[in-house]
Amino acid sequence: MSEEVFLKLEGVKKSFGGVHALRGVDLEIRKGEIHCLAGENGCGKSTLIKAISGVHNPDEGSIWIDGEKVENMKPMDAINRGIQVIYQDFAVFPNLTVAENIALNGELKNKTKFVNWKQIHEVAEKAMAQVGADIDPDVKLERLSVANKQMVAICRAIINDAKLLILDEPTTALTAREVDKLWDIIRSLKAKGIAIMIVNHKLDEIYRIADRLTILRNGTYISSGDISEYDQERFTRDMTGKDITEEKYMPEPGSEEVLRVEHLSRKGAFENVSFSLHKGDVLGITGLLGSGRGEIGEALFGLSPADSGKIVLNGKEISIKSVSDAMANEIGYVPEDRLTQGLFMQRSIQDNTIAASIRQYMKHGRLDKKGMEDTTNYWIKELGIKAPSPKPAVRTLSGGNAQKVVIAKWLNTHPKLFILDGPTVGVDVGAKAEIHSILHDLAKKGIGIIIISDDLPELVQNCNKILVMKEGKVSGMMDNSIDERTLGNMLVGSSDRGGEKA
Amino acid sequence: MKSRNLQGKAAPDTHMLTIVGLMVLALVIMAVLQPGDYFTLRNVRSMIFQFPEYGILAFGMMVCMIAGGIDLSLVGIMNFTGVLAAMIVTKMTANGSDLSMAVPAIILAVIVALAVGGCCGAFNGFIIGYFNIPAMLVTLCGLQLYTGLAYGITGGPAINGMCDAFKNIANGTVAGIPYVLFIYILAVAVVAFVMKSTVFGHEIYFLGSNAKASRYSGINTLKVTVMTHMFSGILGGVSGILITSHLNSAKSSNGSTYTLLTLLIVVLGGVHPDGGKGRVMGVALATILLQLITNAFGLMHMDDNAKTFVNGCLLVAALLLDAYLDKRALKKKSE
Repeated sequence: MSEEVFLKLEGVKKSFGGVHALRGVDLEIRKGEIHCLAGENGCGKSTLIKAISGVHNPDEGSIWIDGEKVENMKPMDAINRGIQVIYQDFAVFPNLTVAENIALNGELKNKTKFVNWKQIHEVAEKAMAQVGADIDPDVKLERLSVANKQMVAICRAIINDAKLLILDEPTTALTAREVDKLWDIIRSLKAKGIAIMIVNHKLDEIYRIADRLTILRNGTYISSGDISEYDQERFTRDMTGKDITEEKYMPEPGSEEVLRVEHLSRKGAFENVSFSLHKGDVLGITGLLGSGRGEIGEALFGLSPADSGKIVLNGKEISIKSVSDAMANEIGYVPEDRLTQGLFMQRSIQDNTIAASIRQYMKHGRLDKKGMEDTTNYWIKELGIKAPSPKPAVRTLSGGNAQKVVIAKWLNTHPKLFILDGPTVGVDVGAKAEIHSILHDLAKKGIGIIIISDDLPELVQNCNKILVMKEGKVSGMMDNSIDERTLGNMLVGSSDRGGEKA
Repeated sequence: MKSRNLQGKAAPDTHMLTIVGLMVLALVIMAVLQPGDYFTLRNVRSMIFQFPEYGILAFGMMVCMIAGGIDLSLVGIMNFTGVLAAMIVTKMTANGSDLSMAVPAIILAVIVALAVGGCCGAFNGFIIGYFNIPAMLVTLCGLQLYTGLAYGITGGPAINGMCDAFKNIANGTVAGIPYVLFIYILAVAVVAFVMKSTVFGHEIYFLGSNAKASRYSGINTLKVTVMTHMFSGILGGVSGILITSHLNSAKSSNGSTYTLLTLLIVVLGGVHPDGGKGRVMGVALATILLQLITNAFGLMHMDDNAKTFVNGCLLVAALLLDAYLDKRALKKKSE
């Protein structure tokens, strides 16, 4: 590892519509090192990547690349300077072949007007040889596995003389084996002198791969240093800003059963899932992407109903074949993607709050506007949504406040069962704690709460029961005496065995 | 200032002001160029006779566009229902000679026109919502389909010879004020009430803002899509009655320029082509603005193509203005 600095950021600030995404970030990446950027969701990691790659220009602060100060950088400038980003969705073209995906970018960069097919194949094969990938160059991207798509994205990045490769949460959708392979590739790129920045917040993975670490919290630079300087205690403290006060949720043991699910199955998603939920319980459901964790929530809410199995809510067997069935049975659901599924971003807080319960306000043949406004004001106060009135569009709110609006939308339907998929994704630390305490209060009132998440610390802290899914089947039911590491190993380990079988 | 901006109301208000400003501008220009002809009662009345038939069509276009779609089939629905109404009226009154049957014939014609219009729209909506085919394609097919049906019934030539009572709907006046003005005002009131004060109206806005989030909020998106297009179809039926009565003639090719004209009106009126945004008053004002301009061109005996050009300029200006206002609103917020 050389001490030569490739990329340096000083006091970078950026805000969007009153939301301060970055409040002064310093970062230093050296040539040929593997640098981890860690921080909780919503700490500004994505914005920082965009600032480095020229998508956003910082409001304040300066960026040096290879010792040269750059200003008003455009994405193409960043690419020309050797900065390549691999986003979570890889930004590949599913309808094009592997070779086209790898080589077309280079064609664009060189401003070629005509496509030379022979050259495209040569370039693609050369790139794949470099990272040791073995994929048929003529296969369309949509037919590849997640890991192979990522491989293609890496190949595409390195053909353009990359000097810094940025990977945004590269391991979220990978099995343990695929992660190992990815790390091998990363190390071989490092050996070629390419600097690597990995955005990650999983401690065990960071220890395995990183040379150095920078931690962000709430858009602010917290600390940076060699990986050896961090033990778990410091890491958690720097990440969360709290001295590890893990107050785990410990409900009074309740006897009243709220929800019982028996042998629930949906073909191709999950099979034979059974669990029960008592008064006061907060149930967590976790698993890797594609393990069926999210699909259980979708089935209970009728978005893609189960084929078979039994659902008993408050002692009554119910059948859920559609969203209206679920709502008739007083089930609420906070979807995984707040922006596209949970909210009407252009509409006001009030419109969003009453979206699922608007029929309540039909009085004497017309809508009771005053009633809708009063309700919205009530929830703004009750949930601590930071907004001056019910009128502003939801897009003006920060992640945490926007998520509270989604929660308000469902609480206003007075659900008996409340399912939340990724309830605190992209939510800042403070709002995260508030949302958790709201959920605990609801659970104590006897409302069934199910949290679906891959955020293991969140689950361990907030759920008193954790259901682990693996390849569509229940692989374990834990209580919260389990620690994150063991739970994490369970997810990873279980998929390891799956890999060996195949 | 900032709090007003946060309320998100400043932008549409500016839009409304722009339209009113353009109307004033048109009036001023005409006051200079043609003071004698333009500001006469006769001219005002002649304008009122003209705009309601496409003004009501524009509301159909508006609701579909707010719901995130479009309705290109409106003119087809208008002519199809118009032909049906004309047929009923001429058959029942024996080509206008049997006046005793005039009132029941008109009532039946109106009911049939609205019902058939609603069915045509519901059919569009069902195909769009159930099979998930873009509204633009479905309603374009609908336009051909309903025009074809109208042609099939008439076999080509127009149906003429309606009784006077029927002609009076769009040509008669009470105390010098055309009946159609009252019909138009009623239509404005109904559409405004539906959009503002009913669950259905709010669901249209929700659907247009984010179809996926609507589904995740328990809104039956298929039902809302069908009902929206049905609503549009019923408005098409109203226009069918008006144009047939106005022209005293029904055929498959009446008002063929109205499809683009109504699109122009709704976009000029501040309805966002992506859906979720738009106000009844904006569309009503835009309708009147276009009528002022059309009338001005008519009085000055100017080429119809010149009018098309001016309309095009207006639309481009409206779109640019919207883009500019959106950008400025965003900027204000980040300050």
